[in-house]
Parts: sequence; C-alpha cells; structure tokens
Amino acid sequence: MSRDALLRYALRGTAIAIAVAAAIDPAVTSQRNAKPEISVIAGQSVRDSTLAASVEHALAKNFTVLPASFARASATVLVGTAPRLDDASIADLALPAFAVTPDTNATQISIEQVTVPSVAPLDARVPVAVRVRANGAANASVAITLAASGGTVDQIVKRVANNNQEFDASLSYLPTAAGAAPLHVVATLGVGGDSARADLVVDVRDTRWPVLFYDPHPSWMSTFVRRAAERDRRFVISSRVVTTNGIATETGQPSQLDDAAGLSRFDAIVIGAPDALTDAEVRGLEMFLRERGGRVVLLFDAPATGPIRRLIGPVEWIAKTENPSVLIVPADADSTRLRASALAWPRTLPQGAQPLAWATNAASGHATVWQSAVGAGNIVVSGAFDSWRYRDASSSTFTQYWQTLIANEASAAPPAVSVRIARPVVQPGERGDVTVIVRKAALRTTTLLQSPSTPIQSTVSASIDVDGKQTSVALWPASGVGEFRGEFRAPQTPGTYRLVVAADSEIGEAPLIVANVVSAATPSDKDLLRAFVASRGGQTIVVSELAGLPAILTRSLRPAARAELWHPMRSTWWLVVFIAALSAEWWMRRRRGLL
Amino acid sequence: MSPDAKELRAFLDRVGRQLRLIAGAHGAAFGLGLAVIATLAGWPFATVGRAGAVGIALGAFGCIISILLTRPAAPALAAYVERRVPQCRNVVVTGTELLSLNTSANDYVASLVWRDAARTARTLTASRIASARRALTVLGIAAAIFALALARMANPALAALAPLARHSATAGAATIDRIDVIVTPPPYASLPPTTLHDPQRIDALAGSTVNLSVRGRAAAVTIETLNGTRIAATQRNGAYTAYTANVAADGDGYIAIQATAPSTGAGATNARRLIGLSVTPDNAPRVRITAPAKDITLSDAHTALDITADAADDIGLATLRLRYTKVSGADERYTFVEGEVPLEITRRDARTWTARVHWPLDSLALAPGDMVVYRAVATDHRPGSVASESDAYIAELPAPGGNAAAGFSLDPTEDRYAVSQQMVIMKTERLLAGKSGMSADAISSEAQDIAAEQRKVRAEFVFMMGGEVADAPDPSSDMTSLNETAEAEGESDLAAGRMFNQGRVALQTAIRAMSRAATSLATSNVATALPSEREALAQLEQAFSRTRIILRALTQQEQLDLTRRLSGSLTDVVRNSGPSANPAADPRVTALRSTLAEIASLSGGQNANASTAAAASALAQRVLTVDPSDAGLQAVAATLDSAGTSATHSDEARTRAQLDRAATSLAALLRRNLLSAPSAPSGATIDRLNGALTDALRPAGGAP
Repeated sequence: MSRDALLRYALRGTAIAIAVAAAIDPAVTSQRNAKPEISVIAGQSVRDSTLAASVEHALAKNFTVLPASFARASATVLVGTAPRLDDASIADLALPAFAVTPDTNATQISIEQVTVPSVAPLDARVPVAVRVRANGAANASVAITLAASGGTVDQIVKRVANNNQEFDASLSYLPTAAGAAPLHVVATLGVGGDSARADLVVDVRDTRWPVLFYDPHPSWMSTFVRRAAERDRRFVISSRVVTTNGIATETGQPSQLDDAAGLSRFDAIVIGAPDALTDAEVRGLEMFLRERGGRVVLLFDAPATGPIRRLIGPVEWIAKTENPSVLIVPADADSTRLRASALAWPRTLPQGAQPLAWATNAASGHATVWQSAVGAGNIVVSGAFDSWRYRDASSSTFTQYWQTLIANEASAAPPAVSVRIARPVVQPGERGDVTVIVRKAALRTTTLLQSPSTPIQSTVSASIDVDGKQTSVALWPASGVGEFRGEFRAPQTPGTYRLVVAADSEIGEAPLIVANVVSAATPSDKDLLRAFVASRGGQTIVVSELAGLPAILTRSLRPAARAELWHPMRSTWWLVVFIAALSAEWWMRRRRGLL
Repeated sequence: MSPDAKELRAFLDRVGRQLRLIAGAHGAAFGLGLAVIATLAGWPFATVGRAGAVGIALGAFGCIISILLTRPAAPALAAYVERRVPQCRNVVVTGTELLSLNTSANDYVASLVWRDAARTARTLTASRIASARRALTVLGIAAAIFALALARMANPALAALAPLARHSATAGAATIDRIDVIVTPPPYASLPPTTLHDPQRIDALAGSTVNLSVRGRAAAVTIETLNGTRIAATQRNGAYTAYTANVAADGDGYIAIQATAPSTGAGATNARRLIGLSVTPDNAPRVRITAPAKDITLSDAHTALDITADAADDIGLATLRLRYTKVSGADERYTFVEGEVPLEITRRDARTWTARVHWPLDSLALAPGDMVVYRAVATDHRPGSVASESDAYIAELPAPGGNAAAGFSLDPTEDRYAVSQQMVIMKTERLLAGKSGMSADAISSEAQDIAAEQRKVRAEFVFMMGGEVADAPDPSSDMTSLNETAEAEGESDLAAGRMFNQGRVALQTAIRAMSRAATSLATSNVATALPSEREALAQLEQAFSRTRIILRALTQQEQLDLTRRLSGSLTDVVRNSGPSANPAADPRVTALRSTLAEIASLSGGQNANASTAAAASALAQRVLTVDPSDAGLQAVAATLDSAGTSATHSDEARTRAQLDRAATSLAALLRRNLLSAPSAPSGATIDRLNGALTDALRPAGGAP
C-alpha cells in the first residue's frame, strides 16, 4: 500500500471515527477550576454607576460578574466612595471584599452632605448646610448654588486650597409661601467644570408654635422675654402671671401646670420665678417633659431653691455680681449675645447636661445657660438673672437670643404624629420608606410602667393623594412602641405629593417630591471603606489601577476545583475536523483520478 | 539736458503726483473709516456736529500722513510705469537711469534712448497709468458711510438699518432703543448739566431737572415716578419716534418709562424701562467757631476778641457772618442788643471758607455784669434755606464779686437749710446728753441759744416762702420773732388739704415744727423740742426732694402713662385676661418676599421676550416702591431692569443670569430681617434615649 493510500485511509477513518463518536456522545466526569463569580456593588450616584461599568468590563474576561450583592460569590468589589450597603447586605457580603474608589487626582467635585430642616416656619430663613469635596482642583473656585422654583436664591463661591479638600458652605433659603419647597444644591467647579447636584425638600409651614409663659409671681426676666416672644410671629403666646393669691393676669388660653391635658397643647413652657413653683406644679412640668416630650425654659432670678431643684438635677450654684456686666455668648456659632451683671452657674454641670451659653467672665467661661434632658423632653436653665436690664439693642441681642432659643426648643418638641420619609425626593415609581411615630403611644412609657396592664392602643393609617385618589400606604409596627414603618411606591407622574398619616384624631404629614431626574448627596466614607475592606481580607484600589484588579483578585482567590460532567463530542470544532478530513480524502482521490 | 530728457522727467513727475493723489485718497478713506467705526460703536461724541468734525479731522489727518509717506524716487516711478505699461520695453527705465548718471546730452546713445523714451511718454497719460478712480471711489464710499453714521446718530429711526444695530424689533412691538438723560442741577448750584445714556440709575441733586429723551418705536411714551406722577412725553421731531419729558428730582424713587405699541394686534407689546432715581439733598452748611471755642470772662470792657470760624457746604457757601447779642441788666430787667461783626473771609474753594476777626469790644460799652453771646452764621445758595449757626459762646464782664452766669446752674448750697436744721438737732442732742452735769441756768441759757438758732433757720424758710406764713410778722418787731401760736394753729388748715402742692405743704409743716421746737427751747423744755426739730428736718428733706421733682419739666415723649402705674385700690384687683398677642407681619418683609418669589418664578421660565421684560421692569418698580432710598434695593432694581433689557433683546442666558443675581441680592437683604429657622430636631427616639441616659446617670433626688 502506497503512502498516499495509507493517508487516504487514515483521513477516511478519522471522519468515520468522529461520526461514530458523535453518535455515541460519550460523557466524561473531570475535576475542573470554575470561573469565579464576583459581586460588584456600586454607590447611588451616576458617577459611581459609570465607575461600576468600568469595573465590570475589566473583570468580565476572567470572572463572572454579578452586579449585586451575592453571598455565594467568590468575592465582592465595592465601587465608589459610598456603596449601598445596609445591615443585611453587610452580613451577606461575599468575602474577601475589595473596593475601587475614584481617583483622587482626577478633577471632580462631589456633594458629601446637605443638612436642612425638614420643616421650617414661613417667617424665618432656612439654613442649608452643604459639605462639598473637591478633588484635584487646587486653586480652582467652586460655586455652590441653591436654586428654588427654577431660579437661584443663594450662591457662595469658595476657592479650593489643595487637591483633596472638603469644606462647608452655609446657604440659606427664604421661604416665600407655605408648602413643600423643592430645592437643588449645585456645586460647580470653575467655569463649566465638573458639577454635582443634590435635591432636597423643605416643608414650609405657616403654623405657629404654642408657647406658655407661667410666672408663679411677677418676674422682670420673664416679662421681658415674653415681650420678645410676643413680637415674633412664629409663636402664639399664652401667659399666666400670678400677681397675688388667687389673682392672675392671663393672655390667650393658659393652663394650670398640674393640668396635663391642658399643657399638652403647648410645645414649650417658659417659667418665670421658678423658685415659687409648688411641688404639684413641678410634678405637672415633669409630666409635660416626659409624656409630652415638651420643652421647658426656666428663667431664674436667683439661684434655684424649692421643689424645682428636683427637675434640674443636683446643682451647686455659684452666684456672682459682675461690674461691669459680662457678655454671655452661645455655645454654638450663633451670633446672638446676652449681657448680665447678676448671674449664676453650676459649679459642675449635672450629669447629662449641656451648656448653651457661656458667660465670658473667666478664661474658660461659665455655663450660664444650659440644658438637660428629662424623659423625652428638655429643660433649659438660665442663670443670667438680670439680662433683661441689658435688653437694649446696643448692649445685647436679648430679643433675638430668646426668640431663637424658644423657637429651637418649641420646634424640637415632637408633634402628635411624626412622619419621616427616608428619601423625600424620588423618581416615578421608585420605592420609598416612611417612618411614623405616634407621640401619644411612644411617650406613654411612664404610664405603662405604672400600670402595665393598661394596653396602649392606636389606630394609624397612611395615604398619598394621587390625582384626587387616595393611595393607601400599609404601616407596620416597628421596634419601638408607637413607631410604625411602611413602604410605598412613588406616583408615576412627577409632581409634589403629601403623605398623610392619621393616628386616632391627630394628623401628620410629609411632602414627597417625584421628579424624573433625582440626585442625592453622596457622602464619602473613604477611610471607613478602607478599614471595612481591610477587615474583610481585601484592599482598596483607585480607578487608575483598575487594570491590576483582575490580577489582585486572582491572587486572593483560591480557585475551587469541582467535578464537572463533560461531553467532549459536543464541541463544534469536531465538525471542522470532520469536514476537513473528508475534503482532504476526496481531493487526494480526485488527484489520482479515482473518481 | 536734452529736451527729450526734460520731457521724460516731466512725465515721471506727473506720475508721482498722481500716485500721491491716490495715497491721499486712501489715507482719507482710512481716517473716515475709523470715524465710522467709532460712531457706530457709540464712542461718546456729544453731538452730530462734533462727531462730523472729528470724522473730517481723521480723514484729513489720514490724507496728509499718506501723502507724506508716499514720495517715490524717479527710478521707482520708472519701474512703476514699466510694470503698468510693459510695451515701453524698459526704455523709460533706461532713460531714467541715464538721467541719474548725469550723462552728457551729446552722448549719442543717451540721446537716442531719451528720444525713444520721450516718444513713448508722449503716448502715455499719467492719469491712466496711475488711475485715481478707484481710490476716489473708496473715499467716496467711506464718506457716504460716515454720513450715514452721522444720520443714524441724529435720527434713531435709521438705527434699524444700521449693520451694528443691536437688535431687530418685532413688527408691531414697541421698543425703547435709547434713553438720553440730561440732569440739570438747580441754578443756584452753578453745576454743569450731566449727560447720561441708557442709565440704570440717576444721581441728582435735589431740585434738579431730569430731561429724558426716549428714542424708539412707540405710539406714545408715558413716564411715571414714585409719587404716582404720570407724564406724557412729547414727540420731538416729527416722523421719528423721539420723545422728551422733564422730571423734577425731588426725592428718591424711580422713573418708569413705558412705550406704547405703535399698532394693535398680534405682536403689539409695550416696552418698559425703569431707571432708579437717587436724590442727594443739599445739606445745610456746617459752621463752627474754632477760636476761642469756649466761654470766656473778660478782664475789662476794652478787651478785643480774636475769633476764627470755618464753614463748609456740600455745594457752595453764600455767606458767613459773626452775629452777637449783648445782654445787659440784672434781675427782671435785661436789655438785648443784636449786631453783626464783619469778618475777613478766606475762600479755600466755593465750599470751604475760613474767617477771622479781631473784634475790639469798646464799641459795645460793656458794663460790669454784661455779657456778649456770639456765634457764626453761614448760608448756602439754596433758595429759602435756613442759615446754619455754630455753637454760641459767652464773653462776660463779671460784676464785682459776681459769679459768671449765676443762676444758670443749680445752687450749690441747696442743702444748706437742711444742714442748718441738722445742726440745731445736733446741738439739742448734745445739750440733752450733757444735761445731767449742768446747772439749770446753764441749761436754760444753752436752750435759749439753740432756740435763737432755730428761729433763724425758720426765718430763712419764711423768707423763702415769700412771707406767706399766715401771720406775717409785725414790721416793727424783730425779724425772727413770729407768732408761734398762730402758726401752730394753722396746721389744721394744712391737714384739711387746702394746699395741693405737697412740697409746699411739707415746707409749711417744717416751719410749724420749727416753731414748736423754738417754743419748747425757749421754755428750756429740750426733750420736747427735739422731736419737733427732727420732724422739721424730715419735712424739709421731703419738701426739697418733691420740689426738685416738680421743677423738672416733662416733654411730650416723657409723659407718664398713669394707666400703667402700679397703683389703685386693692379691692379693685381682679383676674385680668386678654387675647394672645398677634404681631403684624413686617410689610417690608412681606412685600420683598413676594417680589422674591416672582423673580424666582420669572427666572425659572424659559422665554426671554417682551412680556418677561415688562415683568422684570414691573418687579424693579415694586422693589423701589418698598424703599427708594435703600442702596441695596436700588441695586436690585437696577439688575432687574437690566434683565428686562436683556429680555427685550431675547438674550435668554443673560436675562436669567441677571434675574438670578437680582434674586440672590434681594434674598441677602431679606435675610437681615429674618431669624434662622431651628435646625432639624433629633426626633422622639433620640430624645427619649437622651432622657433615659440622664435619668440613669443622676442619683435619685435633686439635692446637690
């Protein structure tokens, strides 16, 4: 047999063998290394989403990428400076965990945090505190703009000192009408440079805080503080000044201090001459503090004596008369000032108490105005006995100080029904969470302790008005007494909505803004993230080192071998070999003229 | 030089002149071109005539410079001719070179070349070789364009045709293309008029006349001011829509200009512009005496005073004088003589003057006790203005033993009487203390002395009261001897309250007590006298303190509100209740907040058109209505008006930027009037935890 014939037979035999093997389709079990699955979790911002896409692309060749948290994955890659992680996903996180963060040298700006009161009165300026981070933008200017109703209402321009700088900006919004006010904070780097945006909402309400002034005997201090408050449209002042036994001068609808139901109408109570309060009145105040969560301001004319000492805690007073008078400055950055010559302060602040204003008559200052929690309420104690004497605008900002303090206290008193939407600005159809606290139930712990058999009952319902139709929102009891949580789906039509909660006879509500484009502040927790991934066996890399991520992951992962059923004849490559063998055999025969 | 050579040179000279003519025309055209650009760009020529003169000057300057720079040499001219006419075959160039080589006329070759060159030149015309037609055409076009620019300046109706017109107005819509303002200060100020073009704000001296010239397309133009005055501007020059009106600058405010659309129907919108008006009042002059800037005591009546004074005014001073008042006499008879002293005035400028005078007082014939009150008085040119006076100073020639300006101050011995009565008490107490060691006679004698002192003190008060004590002493009797019994009886009258003046009552009571004390002392009853003496002292103190209060006059503002005094009958005390205070909203804040909302709404809109412009202008007017004198609000109004102008030009980006700037500025002004809203509360859960922690940390009970 010639060599040529031998080759032809070999080719034919190969083709027949392939056909026979394909018909049999043998199965083989082998130990193989599987392609690792990597879970990629990104932050909320558009920038993080873009970065996540880059990470997925870089890993796709060597790994199976899952764009979500997956407990059985081989590893997790967290993308961005603030990836979405709640308690559950942290617990189920596949380890090791790695993080890919934006390049700090890249020129970019981000809004880390925006702080704004969710509810504000109409007659006030609403502070909007913005924390901005600028990367790779040394000596550039950053314009931080607050916009409302499509127009700019405030703007601050700051210069960036170094390449990785975080700074705060204080903007303010002036409400022009009651209702939900959608606001936008935009930070822009230079002219037409990188920008970041955060959407927020303030619920502007034209409601007034009910405040009770109660003087067991006439007090100059209380009188002038009351006059200051009466000039402020944000308050509805009721007052009761006991001038002599059984005779009192009253304005509005004041209550007796031992009338708990009557007192619950007020957000704050200001007491003049608190030394003269009786034991029953002090008990009434304590009830107001603990079960109403109310706020009490005590305006002393002399170091505390009498039953009131029980409320303010164990205090050893130091009283002093200063000549000339001394300035009393708030502990926070507020610009208001008091002045007094007769004043007192505790030698040591009671446990849990916090200073509100310092007398500047000593290098370290003395806490002349301070506050302390009592139950869910708060009590403010003023030792600036004769600050009313220096109420002239040239001496101090007496009026503004007390107006601000009383407003802060009254606004902090919990409403009958508190409604908090986790993210009040959402996209159409997006899911949202709401938390409701019913005060009557939540703060009735004292009663509960006294008579545990008395059940606390509350009927709660929530709804969103969509195009005139009430869409119910289911609420479920949460961890705390009187606390409910619910989940809702945002309406499909962009606009402003209100989520209304009815609890017994009380109503609470919160605004909900639905917009097609929603941006949120993206807090950067780089250091926390670095520590987090280090504790989970991983490391942090910046996006410029992304090309090295597959190698890092490969080094860190132990490829798991697993038994796998394999059908070798199911590869299409056999077809190529089969056709090639037949074609070659046919060509050789034709060349020899056998056909 | 041969005739042919001369002919060639003459030909070249003609060509040179032609080239200079062309260069001059080009230079003039260039100068006029510059003038056209400057005129169209609004370079501030005040008048058409001046702009024309400047244009002609630029043209002439360009012409001269060009001619001076164009002085071609003969070879260059020959080369130019050869370039223009190649048929010359270099004969002109060769001939010119032979001319420059000073070749002899007998040279055959040279003669032959010159002959051919002259023959060629005879066939050529310099004006055709170097044609000035194109240059003159360019000059003519430049002149025509310049004339058009001047015409446009004189007549805004042509502005729409101009290539550099800022915008093209919508058919049927009113436009305000230009506002010329001439602020003419009041005649007395002698200040030149100020000319402004399209101003956002006008600063004018009070009393100025603001002449407005409004150019644009409009059927009518009305002008409105803050006080509601509406002026219909008059059409100035026939077919062209130029309107003029005069506004008196009498206070801060605005001038709102509204142009009514020339037609009705679609697209017929009015145009509106707002100009802030800040009026600077003409302040009164400030005048002061710089030396001697104090009261002085004259040593004698022949003393001379060296007085200097200075005065200043914001516009200009009119007069500066020194006036005096001579005061003569005493008690109830005073004589006042007024006069004026001529001053030697040095005028540093119209607004700042200083004056001095050496003033001998001989002419006043001052007598001891007389005094001269002098002060400087200045006026400015403002009609009807009140003269400003400096502080007045006193020069007094004291009376012998007299005290300068006595009676103008409180008597330093006001407590003398009380002290005297105290002395009587002290002596009485001393006598009582030493009584045990004294004889009866000694006691009686000492008591009599004290009684005499008591009567003297009493007499002082009787004289003080004008002798109104009921029983006036017998003129023949001793001044200190009074009918004590009669006086004591009068106390019932006092008790009956017939005298209302409590100070007077106290004084009368003190006199009665003194009488009783003196009577007791006269009978050596020292122990009885002492209480009366003390009562007298107490009454005296009361009387003087009351007197001092009564003597203090209360102004209208200081009137006591008797309804707020804590006085009344205890039985009238009842529970008092009233409504809660309901403070009114600050109208300024309300108005500005409403305006802010509208600005934000306007900024959020997408269109920059005539309606946006009108809305912005109306908002600017509202802002100024709130407080026309507030500089911050003036700036906001000006920005809003600029936004309106940008909207008229359909410049959306600029309109929005200006509206945003107006909103942020207005918000900054409003922020000053509002307190900060409370920060976000921590929430009931945190509060409850806080309270629980505090309860856990503190020991039971409240004692420290």
